Amino acid sequence: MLKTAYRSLLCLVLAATAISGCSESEIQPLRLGTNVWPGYEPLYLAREIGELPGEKIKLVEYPSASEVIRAFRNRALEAASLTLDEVLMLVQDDIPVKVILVHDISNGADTILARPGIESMQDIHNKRVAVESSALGAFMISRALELNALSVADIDIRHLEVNAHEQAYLNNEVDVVVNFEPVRTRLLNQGAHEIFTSREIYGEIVDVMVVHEDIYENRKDAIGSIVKSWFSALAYFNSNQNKAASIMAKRLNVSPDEVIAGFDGLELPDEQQNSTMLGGEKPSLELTIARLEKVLKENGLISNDTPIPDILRADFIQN
Amino acid sequence: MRSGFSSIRFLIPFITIVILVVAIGIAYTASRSLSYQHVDEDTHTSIRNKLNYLQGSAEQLIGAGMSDILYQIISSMASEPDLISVLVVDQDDRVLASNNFSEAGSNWRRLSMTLDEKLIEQVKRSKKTLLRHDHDKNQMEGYVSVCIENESRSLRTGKCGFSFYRVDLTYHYAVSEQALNLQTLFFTLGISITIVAMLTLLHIWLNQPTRRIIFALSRFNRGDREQRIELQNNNEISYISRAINKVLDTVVEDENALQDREQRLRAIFDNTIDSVITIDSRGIIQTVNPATQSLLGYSDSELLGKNISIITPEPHRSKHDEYLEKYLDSGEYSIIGETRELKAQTKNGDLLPIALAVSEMLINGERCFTGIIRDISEQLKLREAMSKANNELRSSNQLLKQKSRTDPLTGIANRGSFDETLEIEIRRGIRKGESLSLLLIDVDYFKPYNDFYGHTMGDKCLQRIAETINENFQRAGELPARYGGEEFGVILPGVDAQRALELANGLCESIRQLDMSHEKSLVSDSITISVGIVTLLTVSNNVFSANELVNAADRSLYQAKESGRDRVCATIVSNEDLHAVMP
Repeated sequence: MLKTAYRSLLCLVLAATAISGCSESEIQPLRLGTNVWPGYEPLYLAREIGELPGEKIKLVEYPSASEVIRAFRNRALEAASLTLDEVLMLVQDDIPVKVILVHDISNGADTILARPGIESMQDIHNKRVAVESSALGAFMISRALELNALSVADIDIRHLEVNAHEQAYLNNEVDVVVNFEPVRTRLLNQGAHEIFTSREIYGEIVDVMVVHEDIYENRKDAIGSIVKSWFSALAYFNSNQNKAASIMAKRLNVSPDEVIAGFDGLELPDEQQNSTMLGGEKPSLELTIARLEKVLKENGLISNDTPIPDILRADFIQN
Repeated sequence: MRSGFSSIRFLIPFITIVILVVAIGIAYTASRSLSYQHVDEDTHTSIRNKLNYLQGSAEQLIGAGMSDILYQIISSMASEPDLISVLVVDQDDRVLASNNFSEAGSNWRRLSMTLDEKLIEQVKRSKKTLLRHDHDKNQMEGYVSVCIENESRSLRTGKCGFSFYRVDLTYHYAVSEQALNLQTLFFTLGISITIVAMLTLLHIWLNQPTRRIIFALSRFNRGDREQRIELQNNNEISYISRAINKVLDTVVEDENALQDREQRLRAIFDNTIDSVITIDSRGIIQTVNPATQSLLGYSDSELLGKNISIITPEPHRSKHDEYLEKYLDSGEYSIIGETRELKAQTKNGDLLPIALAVSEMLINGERCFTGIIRDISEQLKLREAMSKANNELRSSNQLLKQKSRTDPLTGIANRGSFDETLEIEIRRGIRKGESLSLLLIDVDYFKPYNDFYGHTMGDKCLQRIAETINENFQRAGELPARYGGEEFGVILPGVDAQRALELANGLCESIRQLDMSHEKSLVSDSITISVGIVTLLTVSNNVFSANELVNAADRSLYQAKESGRDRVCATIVSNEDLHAVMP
């Protein structure tokens, strides 16, 4: 009651001084949706170590990227952490967004795992493959098949959300899973092995943070603090790796050592790299986008011919 | 003063209350519109979340062939207080689940409520959540697609159903308004208490010092000139009090000075022997001083308020008002600023000679005139006596002067007069460059004549000779005089030697013709005279003593006597030859 009264008074004062904009959306915390992925873990690390201002940012966890995309598309989220290919598909669906941060570049953390006996991609014929219905799974499998001169018709696709893959594998419902850390480590521990990793398509799987375009315009303060928190957490992670790993291990349900091992498959660009990827005369991520767009089109993942608009923004990267 | 003071005391709370009411009114209106806006935005978020939830659940459940479970989900939503309607419709327009169970299975287009078909088509195509706010009904509704897809492609086939959620905003508005009302109430109460407390404090702080100031000032006004405001604090009121005290000090000082001056002026006014009368611009007497009564006989009460004409005699009496008018109109009133001698009418009808001086003054913006009237009857008498005495003195003076210049025996000029005139004529001659002749005449053998004929005859003889000389020298400037004893002198200004000789011979002849017998004369049997002439030629500016000239003439006379008497001897001198003297 007192807080509301104070807020009304504040609104009145602001209205009186003709500074408009005391709307609910600015009082609501900015909701950032993520799925479980080591590349996003520094966000949660930031929350654990008190670097994330809770009144400005609310982290929302989803079981899979598909749910993140749905919620972001339905505007149940203001911001989301997604792979760049997923972002391109949102853009193709006419959802205006801006990319404001590069979380990581997958260099082995995304993977296709197979049961013993399936030794390579060539052994994948007619095998049951668990693929997430969202973009990234489709992208991974499409690229893996393409690079090995195979097609979707050659395999038996099972649409399963990533959180169901592990169970399906253990229940022997599928033979191959298209997945990523931390499921990768857990399944490797269960005897599965890799037949394809993102190392082979280095630079194509990039995790970024996106916000709705109007949010980008109106919530600069919250976006700024989330980006700041991200780099604070990275700095913490780099200087206190063991402590950070043990914090992350609890959430990822793997051991701290495995967390550190899992990060081996990831590149975490610092502010300098972020700024070259997102900003400058010619952001380097533009090349990646162009290549991705071509791949997505060739694989029928996007059909629209609308050119990709300028979505990269380096405003929030301190350099 | 007192009513103004109390009105301020009530005005401040009154104005405060008015401002408070207006401010709270504005704040309330603004807050209400803001809180409605908040409700709208909150509801937006809430509907989006619900739709997101419905879409996720429905797509999964329908895809897995478990659409029955949707009913469980929707019934758990049915108890939302703001909910009007929630629907899940499949791609064939069949209602899969609704909060109204009877609607299940029917085509959504046949439902009793109206849905927005355009929006439904739009969400099916675009994958966006679309919201609609019906301001008339205070309802808000949202649509989202429900697509069972070929998920390997993640592409929408276009064969989609939709999910619908409609809420009643009235409920939220009521809730927020109630909260706002309570807030406003408490807020108003809080501010009112604060204001009342502040006003009370202000009243307490101001009341006592104000009373003291008023008490002190009213005592001062009632005549207590010693009264001052006693406030020792260091606040605004005590500063004001100190300033007022200074003003009071000044007032007392000025009053004393004024009183002193007035007393002096009053003493002058009362004790002057002149009458001082002031009149206004209509001629009505305003003030008179005590001297007026003794001068004019009227008492104060007989004059005050009357027209000044009461003391003005005719012809001025009837014209005085006219004079005033003329002056007030044109400024022409010659009496202002100078003293006039006039007559004043006293009470008993006498005309008193007076001197009147009038001056004009502005008193409190009104013109008035002050007349100072002086009794000059004594002065006039004195003046008359003096002029009479003066006249007498003047005529006797004239006589005296004549006497002193005339020889008493002969009636012609005496020696003093002769000397005086000679001196003047010498100077004039030198100044003008003219010549001057001087005759000295001696009666031949006059001592024997006197002895023989007696003094009376002698005097007679002298008188006749004087008469003759006087007759011979009647021209202007010529002065015959008795020089002493039987000697006479004549001053002839502007006469040269030749002419002087002629005149002297003429005189000798005139004397001879008198034919007064003189038995004792050795040169004739009648009276004769010897004449010495000196003629002065002016050649320079040299001034000399008259005696020098007389001595020269004396020498000529002596020569005439030596050479046989009854004759004329002449000499000519220039002023260069004579001893210079200082002028």
